[in-house]
Amino acid sequence: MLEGCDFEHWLVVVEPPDPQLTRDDIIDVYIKTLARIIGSEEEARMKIYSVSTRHYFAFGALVSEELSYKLKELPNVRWVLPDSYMDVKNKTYAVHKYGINFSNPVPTKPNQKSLNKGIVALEMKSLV
Amino acid sequence: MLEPNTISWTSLMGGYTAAKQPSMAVWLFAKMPKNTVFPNAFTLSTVVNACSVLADVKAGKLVHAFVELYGYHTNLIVCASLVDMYGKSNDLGSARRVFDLMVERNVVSWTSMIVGYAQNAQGYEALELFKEFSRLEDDPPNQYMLSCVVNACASLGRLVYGKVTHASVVKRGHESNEVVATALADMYAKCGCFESSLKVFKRMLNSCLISYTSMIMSAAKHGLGEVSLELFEEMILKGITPTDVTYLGILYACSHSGLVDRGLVLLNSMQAEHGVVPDVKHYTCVVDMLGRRGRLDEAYRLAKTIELRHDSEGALLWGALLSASKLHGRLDIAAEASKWLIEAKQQVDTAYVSMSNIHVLTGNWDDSQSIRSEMKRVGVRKEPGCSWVEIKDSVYVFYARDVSSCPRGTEVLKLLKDLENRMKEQGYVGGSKGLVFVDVEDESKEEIVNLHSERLALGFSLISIPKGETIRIMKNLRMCGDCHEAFKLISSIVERDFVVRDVNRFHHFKNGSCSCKDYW
Repeated sequence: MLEGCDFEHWLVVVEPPDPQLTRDDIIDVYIKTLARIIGSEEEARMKIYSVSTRHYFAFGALVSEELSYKLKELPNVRWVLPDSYMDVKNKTYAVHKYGINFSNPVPTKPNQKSLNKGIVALEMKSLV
Repeated sequence: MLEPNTISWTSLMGGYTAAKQPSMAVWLFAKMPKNTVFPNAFTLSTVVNACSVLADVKAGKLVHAFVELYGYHTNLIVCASLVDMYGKSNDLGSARRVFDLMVERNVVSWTSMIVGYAQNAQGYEALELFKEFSRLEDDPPNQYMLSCVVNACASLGRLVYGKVTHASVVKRGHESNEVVATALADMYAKCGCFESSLKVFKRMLNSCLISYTSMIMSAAKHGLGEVSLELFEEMILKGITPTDVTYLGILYACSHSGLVDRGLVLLNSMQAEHGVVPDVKHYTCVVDMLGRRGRLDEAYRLAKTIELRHDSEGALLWGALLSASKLHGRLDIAAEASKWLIEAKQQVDTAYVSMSNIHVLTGNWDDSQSIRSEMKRVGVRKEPGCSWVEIKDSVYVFYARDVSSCPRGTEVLKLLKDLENRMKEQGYVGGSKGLVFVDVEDESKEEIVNLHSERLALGFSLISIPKGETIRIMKNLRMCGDCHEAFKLISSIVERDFVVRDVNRFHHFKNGSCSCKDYW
């Protein structure tokens, strides 16, 4: 329906975490949440393409539709919704302007090169 | 005032419209030239707005002429109000023309056009425009635009589109907005996801009359009468006064969940408790409620006492009585109800078909045949059964007995045959409760019923939708008894959940049983 909506990118909205947690802690919670479905935290890091830890608590996960149903069943997951571009011109799923912490332009056909690019971006931005 | 100017005239016009006297605003506008006062953009949009409220497209068009004359046809504010006025007067062609000619647009003008489409039952056009807005404009959508888009998804019954819009709502920071939340709750309910609907509702900080009433009605349509009653009591405790619509919802809930005694108590106390006078719609619910429970004589007596202002009011009332009498084999009441409907020319096709079916049930093939001939003579046709399923962003439609246009038809048939056999092992007898319209041998009867549209839809869904996801099927007619039985069995055989929305309500099939408790 909307641009960028391919049923492989999912917006995972979680229950608001403990207000004492730092931004990095919250991102860690996201990684651990996805890891429960995917199998390992390493895999999970690669599959998260955006996070939001301020105005709303959610992360973008690049997984199959079937796996997205499994995500829905986790206790701290509120919604799993099909994601679409926030910024259609630049083809990004998240936008810098509204307090969202970082965005990762995701290629339409994920391959190892672009996933690695994503990991580098993740590491550079916040997960150190 | 000694020398009223444009601003004072405009303020006065605005005041009249706000005080629910929009015709005065239009009258004032007409007087302006005589008083040598000229309108500006605000004046024009105020008077267009007044025409909107009056839904007077003729006056609106006259004002539009002035807009062109005074050179305001590219003004953002004036154009937005013109689009809004044409939309509310159901002239979408003109609305779109004004919209397309706008040189500059903002979120308000886009919203007016989207609202115009949505409110005129053109949901797909509304969604298409929202997609274009997202593509072309830098401005983010606001809560009004988003709730309108969610409403469009609800009216189309498109769950996937609703979820995509929900994601936008979250990302744009409007999740806690009351109007948007009410729209989301309504959308989930209308698309068959009551759990999600309730989840959204429970998170709302300040639920108001509208959100409570909407939830009560949604729970009713999902056969969750007890939930409706709980919500009703909760809203009263919060000091929110129910209206006639709320009472309609709660009576509908009692009717569809077999809560007859509670329903009767509510009917008899609604005026005393909350000053709501029961009208035909409320009585219709109660007649329906009594009828479903088999209390046909009470239902019939009540129906006879109700004063109808015009025939269309009686359509649902006598229609309900007809359905109930069919269900409980009361040919006498069914005959009278059918007669009433046919004479009043209301729901004629249903009445004829019902009469035919009753004769079938009681073995009177000849009477049934003569009714079928009468139907042909009069030109009445039964609406063909059709079901549809939404998978990702596509909709697949299925028609009764039409295997040729069914996608993956051979696989579907094979699966259905296989399931038939497994059901027979559990004692299922195909074709016994389904309503068949011709005098055929028993085996053919089984063949005809087995290919109802919802079965084809189910077969296709089982092979196309992965396990773990609930299957949602929408149907245009009431689900027949046979398919209902079959669906229950299949849900336990394949260990999956199905939700079927038929013309009356939602059925949730799980582990061999249905949420309606066989009471639809």
